Order: sequence, then C-alpha cells, then structure tokens
Amino acid sequence: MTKHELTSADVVAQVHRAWSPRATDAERVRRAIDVALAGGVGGDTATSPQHAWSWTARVIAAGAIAAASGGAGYLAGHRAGLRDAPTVAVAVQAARPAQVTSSSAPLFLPPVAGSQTPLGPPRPRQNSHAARREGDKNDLAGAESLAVELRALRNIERALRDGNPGLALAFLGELDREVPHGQLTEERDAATTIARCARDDRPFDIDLAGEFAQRHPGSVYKRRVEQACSKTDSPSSGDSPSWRSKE
Amino acid sequence: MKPVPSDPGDSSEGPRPEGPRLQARSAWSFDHVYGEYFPFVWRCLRALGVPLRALDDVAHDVFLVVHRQLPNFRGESSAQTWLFGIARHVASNHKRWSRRKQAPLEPLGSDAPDLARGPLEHAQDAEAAAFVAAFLARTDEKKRDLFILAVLEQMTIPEVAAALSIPINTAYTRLRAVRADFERALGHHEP
Repeated sequence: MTKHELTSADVVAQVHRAWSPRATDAERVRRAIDVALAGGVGGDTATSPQHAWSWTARVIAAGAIAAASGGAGYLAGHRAGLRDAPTVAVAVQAARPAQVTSSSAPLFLPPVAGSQTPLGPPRPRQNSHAARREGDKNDLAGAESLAVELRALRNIERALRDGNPGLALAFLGELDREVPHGQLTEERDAATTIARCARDDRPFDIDLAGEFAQRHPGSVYKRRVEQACSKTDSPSSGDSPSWRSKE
Repeated sequence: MKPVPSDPGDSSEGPRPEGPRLQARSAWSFDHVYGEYFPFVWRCLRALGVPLRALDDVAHDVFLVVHRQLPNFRGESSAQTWLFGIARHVASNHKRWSRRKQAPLEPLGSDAPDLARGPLEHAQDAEAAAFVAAFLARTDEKKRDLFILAVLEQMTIPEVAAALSIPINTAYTRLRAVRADFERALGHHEP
C-alpha cells in the first residue's frame, strides 16, 4: 500500500502504533525512576506523593541534608546524568537482560532464542585486520561473530530508518571486513539491497529486488525489499547523490 | 489552568484515549499516573522530536517532575494536559542541551519491532512514523503541539486549547491549517 492510498487516519493509526511504548519500555523507565527516587532525586521517596505531608517529620529530621542538596543537587545531577549517560540508567542497563532476544530483535534480525551474548563496544579496526589474517573462524568464535553481526545490523537498520543509506552501506562494508562469512547472510543481503535501492545505486537499471528474490526465494524480507526498491524516485534518501538520480 | 468542558462535537476523529481528569488528588497516586499515562507521555516525547537514544532519560525526567509536582496538582485540568506541559518543557530543555553537544553515533536503542505484528506491518508503521516525524520537524511549533494533541492523541479541542493556553477559536483555526498541511504533505509524499 502506498502513501497515496492511505488516509490521514490510517497514517495516524500507524504512527500511534509505532510510537507506543512496549511493556518493557515502561518497566525499564520505571526501574530507573525507582532507583532515582530511592536515591532522593525526586525530592521525597513516598510512592504516593499525596501523602507527602506524612513525611514531613522525617524530612525535618534530615532537613540539613535535604536543604543543602535540594534543587542545586538535582540540577547538577540532572546535567551530569544527561552528559554522561546517567549512572541510574547504566545501573538499570546492567541489570537488564541481554537485548538479543526475540522480543527486541530489530527488523532485519531473526529472533535468536537463548543468545545471551552481551553486545560490547564496537571493535577497533585493528581487530578486523587481525580477523582477516587469522581467519574469522579462529579469531571470532561463533557466538561472538554473531553478536558482532547483530550489533552491526541494528546500526544498519537505524541508519536506513534515519534515511542514511550511505551510512548503512558503510556499516555493511565494515561488517563484511570484520565477519566475512557470517551467519546472517540473508539479512545482510536484504539490508544491502534496501540501502542500494534507497541510494538509487542501480547501474544499468538492474532489478535489485528481483535479484534478491532469486537468491532468497522464500525470504521474509522480500516484501520490504520490493517496497524499498519500488520507491527509487523518492527524494527521501538524504545522502543520495544527485548524479545517480534515475532518469 | 482552568478546566474547560470537553466538546463532544468537535472534529476529533476516532475513539478518544483515556483522559479522565485528576479530580481528587487523594485518589491518584504516582503509580496510577505512571501506569495510566506512560504511553501518552512516551508518544508525546517521540512526536516532540526526542531522539530514540534519549527517550528513556527524558521520560525518566518527565516522571521525576510528575512525582515532585503531583502533590501540588489541583486536578483542574486533564491529566494529559498537565503531563503534556511537563513533557514539552523537559523535551525542550533536552533539545537545547543536545544542540550544544554533537551526538556521536546513536547507541543501540530499544526500538525493536513488535514481533506480534509481521515485519511488513512493522515496516509500514515505521515508515508512517518517519513521515510524520519529518512533517512535525518542519512544522511550526504551535501547529506541531496542536497536531500532536488533537490529531495524534485525539484530545478534544477545548482540552487542547487549555493545554496550549490559546483561545478555542484559535485552536480550531490552527487545527484546520495543520490538517491541510498534513494532507498536502501526504499527497506529495512519494513512497
């Protein structure tokens, strides 16, 4: 279905769905709030603030501390938290289960049941050279290489969603260097095809979606690839070079 | 903020989401407000342009303010009106702060697909969301706020007018204008 066929009510309903939080979002933020309140950031620790007056006696007992830290403490903590990824969020993040689960897998990623591999920081480039030298099978264990692929594919998907197919292709290139023979070949191929279509990177008008369908006849990404490749006239691809625009 | 009676005959479409007023503050705990209105606040923050990477932190800040101010909330306006005011203020502060600092590459967020829906549906929803986000980003702030409340959240115009502290007629005028803009954008959008 194209946007032309959609009414504004359809679009609003889709946006409502897309922007609604999941239960895990509410729980995660709630945990962070509870931690912050327990630490005194919220001013009082009552779960039901309407009963704040009942805390007056305790507040008076701790008056000196509360008065000293008060607003300035909150402001400073707030700024520091925003600047350096709040410790509260980090603590909660650490307590959170690994995100490589079926409920939080991005679009390109199949659910990886039972995979608890933590996603660490990006690997430095020297590692990719080492991986090439020693062979990816020796250098990256299966689980580790899968984690690298998962992480990269999330970034790729994010880049595509943000309208940066060039960045997505750069991530894909780096992933190819880092994990040349990964396990998520179909997902990588789908992402590459979508990114190329978004950039209108189709020399001689090659049917990228058709070729993808030939390579992966039963792919669950077929529709999305076709959808992406059918809108090559869209100006939405922000980094699409003008000289590549379709004639 | 003075409560304004809702107008059932206004041009809002579809069923209205939850929106009772916080009438007796003793009947409303933070838990209740959080449980009932977290989705509303989350959607508003997204519509206000808070990036995904900061959504957790900004929502966290909003509810800390809510926690602090709930005892003083007199329940004269609707909960959504009150919460939107806080969300808008916190989102604006965040935007001002983030402008001063160039964000590096986005860290991984939790914007994963809901696998209860198919990948196609998820992709379509995401595409619609991106389209509306782009529309809101280039829309005048006054119209944007009105669009969020009246169109996306389907609040009544009197409630929206109260939330934005504008006359009802002004709200209707802006709504007509922003709807026309949206329809135009939808018509011009090349999928």
